[in-house]
Amino acid sequence: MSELDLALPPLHGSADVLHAVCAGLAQVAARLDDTFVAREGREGRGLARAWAGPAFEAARSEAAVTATTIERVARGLEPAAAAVDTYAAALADARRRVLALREEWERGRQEHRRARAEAVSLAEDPVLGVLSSLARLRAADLEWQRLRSELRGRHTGVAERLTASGDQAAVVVRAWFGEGPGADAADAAGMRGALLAELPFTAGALQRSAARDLIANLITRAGRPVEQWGEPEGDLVASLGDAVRDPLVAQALMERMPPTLLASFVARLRAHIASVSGEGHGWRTQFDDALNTLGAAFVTVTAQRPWEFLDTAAAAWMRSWQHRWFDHLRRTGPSIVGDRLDDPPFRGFTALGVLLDHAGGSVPGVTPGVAFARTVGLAMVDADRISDDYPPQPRLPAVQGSGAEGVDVMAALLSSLRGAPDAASALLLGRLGNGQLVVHYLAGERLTRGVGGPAPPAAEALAAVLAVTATGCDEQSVSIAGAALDGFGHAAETAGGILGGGDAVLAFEQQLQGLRYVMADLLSVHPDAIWTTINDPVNAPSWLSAPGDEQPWAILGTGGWTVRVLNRSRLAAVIGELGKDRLVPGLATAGPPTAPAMAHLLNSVIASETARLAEALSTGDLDERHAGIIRLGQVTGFVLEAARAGVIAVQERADVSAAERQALVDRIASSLSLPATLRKSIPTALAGRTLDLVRKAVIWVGYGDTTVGSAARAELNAGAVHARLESELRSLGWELVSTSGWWDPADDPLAWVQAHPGVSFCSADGRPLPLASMTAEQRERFLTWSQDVPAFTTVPSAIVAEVQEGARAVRTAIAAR
Amino acid sequence: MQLRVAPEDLVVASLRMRDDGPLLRSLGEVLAGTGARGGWAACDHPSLAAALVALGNCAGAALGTLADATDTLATGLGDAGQHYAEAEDRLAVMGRRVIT
Repeated sequence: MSELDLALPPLHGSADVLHAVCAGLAQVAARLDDTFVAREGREGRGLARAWAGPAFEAARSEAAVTATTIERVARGLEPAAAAVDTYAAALADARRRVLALREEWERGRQEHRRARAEAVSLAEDPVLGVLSSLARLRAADLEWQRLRSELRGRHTGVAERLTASGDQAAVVVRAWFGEGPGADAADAAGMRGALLAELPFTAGALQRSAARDLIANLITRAGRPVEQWGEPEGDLVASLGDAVRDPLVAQALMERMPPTLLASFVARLRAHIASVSGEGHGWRTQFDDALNTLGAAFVTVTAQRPWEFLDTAAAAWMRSWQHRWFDHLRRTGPSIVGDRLDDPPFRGFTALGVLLDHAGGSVPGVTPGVAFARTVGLAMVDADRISDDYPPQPRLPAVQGSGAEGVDVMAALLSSLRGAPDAASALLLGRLGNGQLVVHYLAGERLTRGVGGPAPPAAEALAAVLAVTATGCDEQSVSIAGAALDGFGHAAETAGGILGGGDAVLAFEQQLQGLRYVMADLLSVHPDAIWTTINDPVNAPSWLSAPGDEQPWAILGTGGWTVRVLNRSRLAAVIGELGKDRLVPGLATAGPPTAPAMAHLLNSVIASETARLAEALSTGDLDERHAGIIRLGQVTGFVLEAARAGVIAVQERADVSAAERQALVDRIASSLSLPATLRKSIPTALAGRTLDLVRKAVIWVGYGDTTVGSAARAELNAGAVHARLESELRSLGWELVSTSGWWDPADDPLAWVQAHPGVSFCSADGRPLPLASMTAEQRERFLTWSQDVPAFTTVPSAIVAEVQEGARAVRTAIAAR
Repeated sequence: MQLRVAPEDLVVASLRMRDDGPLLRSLGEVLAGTGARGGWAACDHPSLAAALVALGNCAGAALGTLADATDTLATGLGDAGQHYAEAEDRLAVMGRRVIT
């Protein structure tokens, strides 16, 4: 590099090109104003002369944003173009100046050379001589040095002015987009993202387009139409992976694979697995990835509102599509899509069951929505009711397996709704073709169809769904609970009739077992229903629904919504089944980690009745107290006798060992307790006495039937058992009177003790001690005092009588079936 | 929900808007090229050169996005106009059946 280039470097920018850039920016800004959308989109005028409604608002909004943004771009380009133009002019000027400086430099350099040459020539002059020559040389050098310094300074000035102009232009260009969305975008992707956030209609359309492209590409890769898809496409579908959790991708897949094709594809995969039996785990699970992917896509588009993230117009379109799709699924679901000779047949709904099963493991947290439950879910249950697919028939070894084998559509449907109480409630309260409620059918009639078969998986799935939908006290929960209890009770009542006698008891065991605990749970939420039923003067043989009264088992009373049971027979049937919980021969100790169903119910009954009795006793009103005793006795007697009848029925057929039965009875008795909240609100002694009463009754009834080897002997001993029970109940009645202070003030025991000198039989609270802790002398004096207190005569007798009355109500109800 | 529609208006609007997308897209490409040329031409001022390149990219992307928006609107308006017209026809047929 020359000294000149080092001292006065040339400027490399191109002012001409910058002027052209400026012209280009200005031209683009002007052309933008020519667009139709920029001219007429801002107010939406140009969209249509007469258009109003939500769609217009969505389109108008999108057009307005587009028009505004186009104008922002155009108006932003203008100052940027001007700034660039200014800089281009400055650059041109600077280049001219630098060129002039460089020329001046060149002239100076030549002048310096000439001056030096002239000075050298003077050295030969004898007159002027060497001294003069040296002086001229020094002067030439000094002048050249001064000129160079001056030129450098002037170049620096030019460069600084150009830089300042460039800085100003850069500021204007960087701020070209002004304020608003996209103003801070650093690159093209940032700008696109910022603008699309303001253009929901466009963003949605682009997302849908991308999703459709993805699925179209998949179908292209398959190399044959979806109608022909089978096991070769398994891996291809699986390759979509988690992409199908995007509702748009899932919708695009379901759109290209309508219900009939979807069902056929699933049927072919399942048939391929079933075509060879005895292969290992790898064979059976070879399509799990494909089915998981399809299941995930399926459940994603069945969810409640999968399009929430889209703009309103796109969401409306998707809702409309979902509605049509559900209708298509509902209509095609009952049809057989596999081999017509398959047993069980593979139907459209079978495919949905397979997909729901697989979705449960692959997309946790995503569940079908209410709309799906009300349409497709309801149709699935109705198809199950109408067809004879359930229970599946045992397959002969020589017959090839069906793809539908092992698929319980009802279990899959109910399991998929576990995490969706709203959708589950909508399904359970759906009305089938015969007018029956879904929950009534699933908890009752369907179970009777499987008599003698293994435990249906749907029963456990139903129990789980009932636990989250039917244990509340609102109208919907109570309606579901009432229908479930009625269906369950009806099935229990009619089981004997179906099989013609006692054989039904054991044949029915497996069918009902999955629901026993949850039925106890439902009844325990409404313990008042037991007394209401026992005391029901109508005791109707069937529901006498008034026109429009579609839920006769749900009643709105003064205390809110509660369950009503049809009659005493049905209540006894339900409670009898609760007593059989864990009584399946050989499986008595198996079951969920919960208390036996009977203990669960009794705890609730004790809590409810004790609280009521405590309230009655606290009033001091004789009638109230008497009513409390009647109710406590009858409810206890009814529940225990109903449970005993159920237990006896099982024993008659199974000859269960005494030890096994006693273990169960002990477990029930030891499980009885009062809720902590109730214990605080009622007198401790009263709660303890009532609890003791029921606990002893449980043990006596249970042991009385099981300490012998057969039910026949148990019945023979029933008289002795009841005699013992009566004795103990009387004793407890005495304790109840003592504890509650059930006497007139004139009969106060402390006053009596003072008036009759001798040992006191009272505790510190002025009430008689428990009988078991009295000495012989105390007991003697206590008996003497109590002879004059009427309650010690009436209350024990009333308790015994009412327990017997409750038990009699059960026997009468059963006999009348 | 109040709904008032002149289907032919929507179709006309769709047709008039149909050319906007391609125009905007081509202008966006022009801007992207212009920014790059400006960056080269202002090479003596790196900050300005970078700003010009960024303007070209961002403005080009903005116009590309707006082109997508006008395309979507044009398609949507056209489809809506066609569907509304079909619905009108069906209603008219139903109306004639009721009358006759």
